[in-house]
Amino acid sequence: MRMLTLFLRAVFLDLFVLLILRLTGKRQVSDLQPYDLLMTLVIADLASTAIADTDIPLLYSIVPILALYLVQRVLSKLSLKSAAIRRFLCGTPQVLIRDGVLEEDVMRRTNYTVRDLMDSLRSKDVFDVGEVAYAILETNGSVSILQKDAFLPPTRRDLKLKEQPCALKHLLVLEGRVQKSGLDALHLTRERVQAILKRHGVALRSVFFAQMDSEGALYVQLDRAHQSRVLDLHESLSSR
Amino acid sequence: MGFTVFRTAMTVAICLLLLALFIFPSRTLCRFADAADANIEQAKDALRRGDCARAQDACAALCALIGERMLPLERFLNHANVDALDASFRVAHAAASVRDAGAAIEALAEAQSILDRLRGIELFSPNSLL
Repeated sequence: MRMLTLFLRAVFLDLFVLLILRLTGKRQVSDLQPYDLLMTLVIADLASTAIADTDIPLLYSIVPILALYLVQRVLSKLSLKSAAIRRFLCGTPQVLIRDGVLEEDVMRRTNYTVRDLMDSLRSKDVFDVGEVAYAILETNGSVSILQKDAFLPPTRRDLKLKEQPCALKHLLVLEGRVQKSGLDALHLTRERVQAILKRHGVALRSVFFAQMDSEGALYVQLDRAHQSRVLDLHESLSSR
Repeated sequence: MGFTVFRTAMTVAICLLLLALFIFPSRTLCRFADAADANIEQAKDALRRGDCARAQDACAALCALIGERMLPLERFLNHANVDALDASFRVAHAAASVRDAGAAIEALAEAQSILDRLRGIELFSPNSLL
């Protein structure tokens, strides 16, 4: 029964840690400030202690985890209210490149090497420091880059082209099943989707993936039985 | 909006839970330790006077007490400490049954030291912080 106890304790603490991490509101590691990352690691360590040792009451892990969660909540509330506390907890963004010139003092102060900076520039498709107007080291450790105007690709506005409306694509069908979230977003019904597909000679069950935007642009990929054929269609949604 | 309300409700619930955990476990431990202390003193006193029957009754009461409180104690105390306490009570009871006053007093002293240690760890004091 010890094995079952270990299993159940692991499941319980895993769900508990999941709940706490969701309550902190951070969704991915790149969202985390160094302090948040540290808190996450400490929570994981506290949970693992009680998972592995059945002599330790679960409360010995739960109470410190709850305490860390409360501290994190209080600090995040305080940092929302006070810029000084936010600066203390998260630091301030640092300009590493200004008008193509490396800020040596800032780089020394932040322990950011030229190699690190070049890596960051390359990962943003910038291969020449001279092209950079500003490179800013954000408080979560990422580097934001603003290229000089001369090196930015021209926009439709620069080229005086007609601006196209931006329409978000919604997932409409996945593995032959109509997605309710897509129907709601596009104000469509299941029957309407089936009718649209039928008009283009496609059966709903043969659709592997379909997405549509509010302008009616419909992208359909059929399943493997239909050679994963892709259909790029346009449907008028005005008659709905 | 929904998540914010949920998070606020959870945070309040967590605060209440922590508050309860600051109060109830130490109260349970205090009550248990006081009852155990009284029985230990009673058993020691009886053993010193050579009244093994009374000592045996007091030790039996200790065994019954820890049997009764084992579950709530194990929820917030290290199980090894609770087991050691249980073992000491049983040794004292067995020794009192065979009229071995020396061994019984030794086991009771061991139980008392475990209780004192638990009080030192579990009850809040500036020293327990360190």
